[in-house]
Amino acid sequence: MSSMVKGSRRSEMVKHSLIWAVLLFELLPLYMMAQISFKDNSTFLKQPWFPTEIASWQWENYAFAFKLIVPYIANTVFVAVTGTLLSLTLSICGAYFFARYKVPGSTFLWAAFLFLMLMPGVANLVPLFNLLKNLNLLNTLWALIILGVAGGQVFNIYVLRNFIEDIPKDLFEAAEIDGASHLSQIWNVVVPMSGPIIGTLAILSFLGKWNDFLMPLLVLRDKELFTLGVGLIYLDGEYVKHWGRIMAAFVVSSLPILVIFLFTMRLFVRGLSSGAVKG
Amino acid sequence: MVQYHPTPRTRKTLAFSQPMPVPLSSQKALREWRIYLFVIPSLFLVAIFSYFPAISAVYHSFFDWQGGDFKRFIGFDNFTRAFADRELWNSFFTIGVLVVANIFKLVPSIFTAVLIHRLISDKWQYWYRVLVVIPMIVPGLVTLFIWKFFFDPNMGILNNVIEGLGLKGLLVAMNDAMGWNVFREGLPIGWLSQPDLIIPSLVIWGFPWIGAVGVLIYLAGLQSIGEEVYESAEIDGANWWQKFVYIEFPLILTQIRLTLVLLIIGTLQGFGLQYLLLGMDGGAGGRGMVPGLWMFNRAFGAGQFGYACAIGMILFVFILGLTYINNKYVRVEK
Amino acid sequence: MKPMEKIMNGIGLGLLGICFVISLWTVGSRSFREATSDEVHIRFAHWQLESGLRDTIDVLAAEYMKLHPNVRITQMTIPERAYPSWVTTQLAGGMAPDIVELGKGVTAERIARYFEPLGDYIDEVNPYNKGTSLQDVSWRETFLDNMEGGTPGFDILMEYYGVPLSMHTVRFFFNAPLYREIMGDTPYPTTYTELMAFSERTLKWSKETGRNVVPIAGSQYNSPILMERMFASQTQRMSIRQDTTGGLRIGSGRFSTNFLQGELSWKTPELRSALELMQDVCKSMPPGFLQMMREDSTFYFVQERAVATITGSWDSTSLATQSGTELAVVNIPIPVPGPEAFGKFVLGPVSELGLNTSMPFGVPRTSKHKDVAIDFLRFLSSQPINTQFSALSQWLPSVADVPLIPALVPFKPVINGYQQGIIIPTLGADSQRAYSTNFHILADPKRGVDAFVEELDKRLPTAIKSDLDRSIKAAMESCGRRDGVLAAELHLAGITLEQPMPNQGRLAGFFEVQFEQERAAWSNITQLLELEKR
Repeated sequence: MSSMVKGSRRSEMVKHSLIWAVLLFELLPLYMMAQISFKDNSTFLKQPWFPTEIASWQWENYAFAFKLIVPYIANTVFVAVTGTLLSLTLSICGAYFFARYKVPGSTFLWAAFLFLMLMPGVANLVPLFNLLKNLNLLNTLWALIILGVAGGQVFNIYVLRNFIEDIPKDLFEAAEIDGASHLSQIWNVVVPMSGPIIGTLAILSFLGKWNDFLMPLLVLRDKELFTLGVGLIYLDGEYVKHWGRIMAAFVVSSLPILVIFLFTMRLFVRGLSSGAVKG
Repeated sequence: MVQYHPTPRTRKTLAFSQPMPVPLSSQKALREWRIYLFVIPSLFLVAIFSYFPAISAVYHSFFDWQGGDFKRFIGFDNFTRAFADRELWNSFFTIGVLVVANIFKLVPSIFTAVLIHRLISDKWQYWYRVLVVIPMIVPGLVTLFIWKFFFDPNMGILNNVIEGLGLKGLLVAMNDAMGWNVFREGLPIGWLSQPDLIIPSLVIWGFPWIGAVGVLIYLAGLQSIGEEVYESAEIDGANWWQKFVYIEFPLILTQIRLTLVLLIIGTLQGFGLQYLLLGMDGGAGGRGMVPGLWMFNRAFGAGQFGYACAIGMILFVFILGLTYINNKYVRVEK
Repeated sequence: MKPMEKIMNGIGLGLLGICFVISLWTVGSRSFREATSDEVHIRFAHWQLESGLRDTIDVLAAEYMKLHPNVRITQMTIPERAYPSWVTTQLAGGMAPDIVELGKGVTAERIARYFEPLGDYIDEVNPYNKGTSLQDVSWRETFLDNMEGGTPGFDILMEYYGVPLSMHTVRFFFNAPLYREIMGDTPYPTTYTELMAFSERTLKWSKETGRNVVPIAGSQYNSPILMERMFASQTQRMSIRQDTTGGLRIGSGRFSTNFLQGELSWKTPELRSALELMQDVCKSMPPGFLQMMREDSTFYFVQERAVATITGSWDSTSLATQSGTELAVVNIPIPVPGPEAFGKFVLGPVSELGLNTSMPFGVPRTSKHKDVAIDFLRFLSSQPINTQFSALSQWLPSVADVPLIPALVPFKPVINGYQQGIIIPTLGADSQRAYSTNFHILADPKRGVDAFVEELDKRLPTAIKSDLDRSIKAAMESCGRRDGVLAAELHLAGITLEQPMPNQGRLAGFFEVQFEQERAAWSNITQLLELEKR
């Protein structure tokens, strides 16, 4: 450590300033979003860069934003949470199958799963739409949930299998000796040991469903069913744009994740870094 | 069901574990038939929602299908049409440009990760990590729309900045000198409405191109470098650039490679960005058209579902080919 | 994990859990409500996001709901740019709303495939017209254009699928105070010469005062409106020569084949003159106007950087609210007939008599409440309600005998005049693309007419041919489709081949159109074949 102290004060300042320069640009969109959300169009044209004084802040923008966005958030929370729960449950079960025993057929099935990981899914869009239509699932939130669950299986099972394989076999054998069924083994051995990775996968899955807009755009017709992504897209299409209101809507859209993030900050950051190394 | 708690004794026997998965003979497997139940739901979902659509796509690409119940078999006509389709091949060119641009956009994340890693204070490292993750909280769509707002010729700040810094005059001069047709005195710069500016806009957006996930991945990789390595480098008189090239870069190479593969595949089949910024037609003059978007356009814009399936097939083969080449290359490197 | 961290994580997840429970309850109760209620829920989809229109429809829907308490009507407004893909997806997915605005991605072929023909309803009287002057008139004839505008591609389909609620005319909008500042007491331009005088004066004034004002706020959205009028003024006389049926409706097929055969070209004086005229007009537009979007030109006009703009009656309320100044609405000036100033080939001012109604709404076949949907459309297109619609939204009505509010008087279609000449975009989609994507060459002061012609000569003939091929194919397909229907109708009417064809009534009308379409298509086919022989 001592060898690095030499001339380090200056180089530290350099590093800090570089990082701050980058961060400032990165955080600029958020700043603009926040300060514009309190203006109306004419104020914005006069003073685009800095916030005006508090007395002239337009709180109606937020009234509009809440009324518009909150229903979308309810739908999105439903889809994201249900989807994540179902997806992880099925993935853990599937990964357990592959990691625990090498039964006849498991090699073939594993190859089938792996193949899907490499397969670009873009060509599936059209037939998927048609499939949903034939299953009468169009214009429902369940279509989004099921698609999300099915789509996440391959990646989750891949990651989880690697993790479960590292769990010492003896833990499982001891459980078996004690007469535990497979389900109980999963619940008592796999889940506690893979806590961090499950957390990471849950975060990724949740965020993925939260931000999804393409399938919802195709599948959902009724405004009551819209998720956040679709709602924001429709907001963008208006002719006369009240930027203040639109920015307020953006802020409100970001609030849920912001709140969750504030409370689970360390989990987020740690999970993303460690999980990524493993994956 | 018995509650299981691992005893200290079992934990001590870790060192002598047999590796998983445990191979079973067929007889034993038959006794353990219940385990197959665990994979059936996943298999079922994946078969219906991943494999079936893929087969359906191949099937429908040989038909003239407008999305309804009626379809007409036309053999390879869709493919012949696709090979003669100028828009499709232009879109491949565009996506090629974007892939190269995205590869360059990896650099800032690596750069930032190295910078943060080299800091002495751990507390600062942690807080910078948090700050880097914060922009990720904002839904990707919102960031995109805010950028679309930046690009707006009349109200957007990009034009404000350019005119405020006096760059507008410079751009107009370059414009006249090089014979472009995009920057003009008195006309607000239409980033998304002028055909020649569309690809530059797609490249510029997202400045300064820091991906939170990327930075964290590289940071995690860099953490594994020990102090002694740095100390010996200092003794040898290495400057910061040499430290990067010889110490840090090789160690995060695996992560970079992984990100690169995902990035290339993702960019090649992606079209959400272009759809949101430019609309289904790829913007003015169709310059922002990428293969995925053209497929979407043909299906959900023109109603030519069969043709869209054929385009999807071509794109699929293209990406699969690239992945195969990449895998071969990567394995040799290892 | 430290205990503090655990608590924080717990709170975070707990909050998420609460949100989830709330959302579960919201979604669940909504689904339950939908499944158990027996009210009829009609969804009404359109892209008209212009100000005032959504509220108007809400008001009218509320009135309908008062009359029919078990019906609930919700509006679905889709942004214009997303509408084509949205409507295609909905129709292909079989989940289209009960009432859908036609046009913008709903091609004639899709209308025939997915929408309910209204034939059974249009010959009856509209019950909501009781007590008005229209109470004994069949629903179809209560419209200003006999409901033709309700079905885009009507000439191909020959069946009524849509109900038009409005009508649009295009005009020049002047910023009145700014105009007076520049031009003083000079009245608004009514001829092309006056328009150019206004334009020159504005440009000079702008330089003198340094105010940086352009005469006309053109954009890629609205400049075609002006350009088309100018082009059409030069082809007015020529198109009468092209009109072989005397129906005053110039068929594009004839023009196309003449063009392909070389009888018409850009060297033909009328067409050359049209290009030169348009180039002249481009000087009044802001530099690079073709790259500006609809919002940009509105912005220019509203910010008083342009004196005039061109748009349709659909924008009048939006423009008025946004600009806040007095607006003057004026007909689009074209050259006057005479030896000078591009007047050689002009016949006279253009009549808007043949203008079709617009804002058509159709009912998809997959709708579960077709009768109620059509009934609501009848309600909206009844005379008293259409009057209310026009008054509230400040859009022109589509129904006859509706008094115009004062604000709409300048938009009333001009009756006296001659028919419009033919323009390139009407020849088909490919022709329009070849023409408009190269138009910037004409607008570029450094290149101009000859460069434009050079480019057109490269691209236009192939485009025209492919459009012609496509229109022939569409005509033959729809004739084929109608053959079956006509045979059935003949059979039902008890007419056999030995008897003479009917020459009266609706059936006769259908046969006449069928023959005419087939004749036109075959004429085009033979001309194309001759072309290929050369």
